Amino acid sequence: MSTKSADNKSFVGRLTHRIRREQISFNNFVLTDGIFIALIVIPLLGAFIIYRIHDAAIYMDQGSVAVHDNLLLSILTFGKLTMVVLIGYILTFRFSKGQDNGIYGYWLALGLDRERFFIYTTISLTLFSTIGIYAGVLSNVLFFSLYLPVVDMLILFLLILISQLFLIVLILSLDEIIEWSEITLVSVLLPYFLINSFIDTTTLPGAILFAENTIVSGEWLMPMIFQLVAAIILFYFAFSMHQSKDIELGG
Amino acid sequence: MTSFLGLLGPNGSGKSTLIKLLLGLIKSDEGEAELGYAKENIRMIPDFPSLPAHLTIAEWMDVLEEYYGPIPTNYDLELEFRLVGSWKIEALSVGQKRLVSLMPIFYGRPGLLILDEPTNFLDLLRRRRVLNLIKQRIAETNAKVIISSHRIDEIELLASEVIILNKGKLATKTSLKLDERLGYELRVNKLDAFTTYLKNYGINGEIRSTLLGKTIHVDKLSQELLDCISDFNRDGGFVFGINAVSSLQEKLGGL
Repeated sequence: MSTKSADNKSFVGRLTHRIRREQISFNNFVLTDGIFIALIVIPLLGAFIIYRIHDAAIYMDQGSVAVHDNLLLSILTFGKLTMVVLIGYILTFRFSKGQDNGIYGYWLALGLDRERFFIYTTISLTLFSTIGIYAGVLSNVLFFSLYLPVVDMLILFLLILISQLFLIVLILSLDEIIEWSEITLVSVLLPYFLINSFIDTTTLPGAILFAENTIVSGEWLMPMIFQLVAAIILFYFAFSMHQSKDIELGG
Repeated sequence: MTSFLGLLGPNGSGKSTLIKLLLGLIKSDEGEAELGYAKENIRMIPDFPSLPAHLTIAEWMDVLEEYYGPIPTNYDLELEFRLVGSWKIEALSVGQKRLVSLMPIFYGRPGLLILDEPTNFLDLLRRRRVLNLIKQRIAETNAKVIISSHRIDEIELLASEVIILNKGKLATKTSLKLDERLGYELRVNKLDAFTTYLKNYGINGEIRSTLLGKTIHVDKLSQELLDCISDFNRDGGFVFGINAVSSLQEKLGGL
């Protein structure tokens, strides 16, 4: 075995060891009952179903960019709305309610670090949900006939990643302000579903909430920068609020 | 600085709030509270722990091992607590859940144990066994202890200093160290006869009324007292018990 690979192993080992408590607590407190599988599987299955709905149009008109764009937009929109519901539920009914009913407090009493867990939760949910949506797109590119250049695929991954981070810190921030989880959830679901139903996603509010959809129009830079800046500000706000929050202990 | 601290006080006196403050779960209005231990060296047992109900006992033990390190080989918790690894936590009785919640004490090498009503919901036999195990574990690890309990005997067993809280404030504090005992109470079958025996040996004995009935209070244990008890026994008397009187009982009486 080379020294380099041993060093790599020890680095990964050390990293995994450092976040082991956060990982265990996250899996047993936030992401229980197969929700992790739902985060990956639902957007993927949705992408297959959406392809089946669109495939006739694709076969009839192989060269039309609009048909491919429509398929891509449908997959992205479905993935996004799925994540709004799932992550909204996870953060409000698991993470937030757990802070009031003593479950989170018990993990903290066991020795979980509050700040590190908050960061771990944000990063993990961002990554898992991004992978879920991206897997739906990728499956259509690899197995079906969706056309998407490699550069666009890379940009799309970044767009989904930042868009998911924005969604998660938005929910976390609202949750710190609003006392009731149910109202937090509704106040996140409403704008996403209303904009999707009544407002063109190429308009400013649409571009903000559905930034990944701008990959089709090519005007993705400003929404991406806006979301990133907003996500950083919201994260700082939610993190500060969470640090100073009183957590219940015991049920 | 004490190694074994007891927290006493009526319901709502602020015992659990103080523990939450020490753990950083709530923020203080002013000042700072710090335990001086790394999180992995603290084992906190809350009075009503919200255990992960979806796990089995074996899965929970795996979590604890990941959190704190392995359990010493001389402990078989499933056997000690009469629990089976495949049982789901949500299906356990309240007493069994309490036993499961005590398990963190036995993993790794704790430096500080914070116990909030550690024997809540346990039957008499199980309670005695659990207290013995906790005492054994404290002796092995040299861990320091903060214990909050309504049971004075538990406090006396595990604490050497006690602070008594009332309405969120420190009401008083006292020591339970053996050399700071205020005297001893003897429970005997022939009170008057025993008083005469004490007089014959030149020992001051005072009859007092306590919750356990009338007892004889002496200032200290001495060879003369043991000889006196021996004579008393030989002549048909019987000493049921000798209890050390701590300043805790005096202070509680004064509240």
